[in-house]
Amino acid sequence: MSRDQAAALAGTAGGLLGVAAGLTAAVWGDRLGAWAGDKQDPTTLGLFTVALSAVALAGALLLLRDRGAGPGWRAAVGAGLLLPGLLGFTTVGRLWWIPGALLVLAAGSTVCVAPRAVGRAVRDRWAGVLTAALGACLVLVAVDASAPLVAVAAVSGGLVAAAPWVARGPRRLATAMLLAGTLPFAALTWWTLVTPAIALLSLTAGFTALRTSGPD
Amino acid sequence: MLHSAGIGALTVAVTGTGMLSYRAYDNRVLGADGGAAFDAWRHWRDDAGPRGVLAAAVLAASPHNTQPWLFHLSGDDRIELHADLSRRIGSVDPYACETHVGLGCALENLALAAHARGLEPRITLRPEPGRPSLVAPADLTKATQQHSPLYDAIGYRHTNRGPYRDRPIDTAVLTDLAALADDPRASVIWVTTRAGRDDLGDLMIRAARAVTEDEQQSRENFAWFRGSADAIEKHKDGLTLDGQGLSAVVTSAAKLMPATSRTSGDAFWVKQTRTVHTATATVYGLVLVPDRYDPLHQLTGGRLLERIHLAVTARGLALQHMNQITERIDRDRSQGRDPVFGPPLAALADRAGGDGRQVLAAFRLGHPVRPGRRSPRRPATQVLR
Repeated sequence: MSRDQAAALAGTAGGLLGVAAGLTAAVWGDRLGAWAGDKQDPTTLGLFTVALSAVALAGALLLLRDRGAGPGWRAAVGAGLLLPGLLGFTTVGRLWWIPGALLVLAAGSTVCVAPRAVGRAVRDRWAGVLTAALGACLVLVAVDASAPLVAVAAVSGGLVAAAPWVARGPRRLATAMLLAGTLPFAALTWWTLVTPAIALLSLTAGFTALRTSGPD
Repeated sequence: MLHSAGIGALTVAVTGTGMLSYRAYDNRVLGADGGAAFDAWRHWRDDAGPRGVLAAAVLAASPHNTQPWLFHLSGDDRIELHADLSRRIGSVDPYACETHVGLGCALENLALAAHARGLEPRITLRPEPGRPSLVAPADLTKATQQHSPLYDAIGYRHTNRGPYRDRPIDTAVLTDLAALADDPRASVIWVTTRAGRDDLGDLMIRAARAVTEDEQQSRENFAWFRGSADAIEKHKDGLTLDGQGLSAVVTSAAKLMPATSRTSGDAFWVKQTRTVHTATATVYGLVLVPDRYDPLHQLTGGRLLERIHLAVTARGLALQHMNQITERIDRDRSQGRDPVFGPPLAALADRAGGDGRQVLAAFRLGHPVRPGRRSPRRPATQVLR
């Protein structure tokens, strides 16, 4: 079994167990106490964990399908396994211990096939990575808000996070995604002070990423 | 080289923004009243039976939002209101005057909610003098359903500590509000003249400063401040940043900054009292009773206070409870000291038509610049015994 196959297997198992952990927390979280992290709102966090696990599962399946792809792709899959793997530790308590460990292991294994090349790919697209992180910040800020605002934040964050990675398409599309992802939400919630700051940085990091992105 | 430095600076800035974003999430800069601590405001009309009566009662005003009540439900025809004296604010309320005023407020909501459900509540205040925790049993009998604007206002009634507009309140409105007093033991008078408002405002500022300079009172006040979303969700009571009547931008900035200390919170309160609360008060109201240390008078005065607050809410006006003067009067009394604030307050009340009655509670009225915000609440299920 190759290292990629082992990573994909661990990632798939972690993703499936993560979905089960999320559903368990969503349905029985109130009664599980510390096992589900003693959360105030285990239902929402459980469903959020299911979504995180689905992302990790998709990463693991991609790894199985596209073995041997470039270091940039490998870095993206590694991040898709690692970030849900780490975030889950804050959402459903002990239920995440096994899926989380499996996902972190899978991410490490994915990157370790070509660590230098992956490191170089990340460094080359660092501004894009920062922009994606800022997209996640937009979503994080609005997690507790009303449903319409959460929806706007999710779309905005998604647009910001994805913009640097569509740079190989028409540049105008990436620019439009950055502007649409930052300005309306910042204008809608200017009084929070945080969202305008995120918007400003997103535009700076995003345009830097677009300017520096070259052929993969 | 320049590019690397720029990327490095960007990385630092993004890291800082990430931490700020987490703080914004953790302190609910967006969606401040979306948590379970505010569910009571969203679901208070859901239950058509006696439990729905309790759901309305827990939304009443109380000192520092301590919610000093417990309820006992016997079948579908009797609700007992009990005092939870463990929630009294120590040296701030040494004689439980404010606690009983809050219980009176809950009793008023209870009565309004019972009427709205076609139930007539027969309320007996303190039926067993040897059992002071039993505040008032209410026997419920079937009656004609009575909806009132006061009942409808229960879910919108919030203490508004923000600035009020420089617009007078109609005399007819004040007359209508005063007419809400239906028990001879409690009445309300208004301080409307510029001189009267200035004198009362000065006294309030001095009393606020005295409270903050009294370490025990300051500490026991601060114990009811909930400075984080976690604390709000855990306790579901107390005072919050969102309830301070600040602008949205200032509230956000305060939530993003490190938690406030007791002394800076005290300084903030005195400053707000001077620059906002007294500076923009259009009218002061004083609830009067014959004896402010008589629990029956406190409960009756509390019912009137809640009724006024609901009527004010129904008219789109704002109200803020301001009890620092009476808190200092009680503090001096409990310490056996010469009264500092009692005589000037009594003189002020007499000038406004107090007729020798004692001031039980004080508040200001006005047209709000911005709406009041919800305060955290323990749901009825949590206070049912």
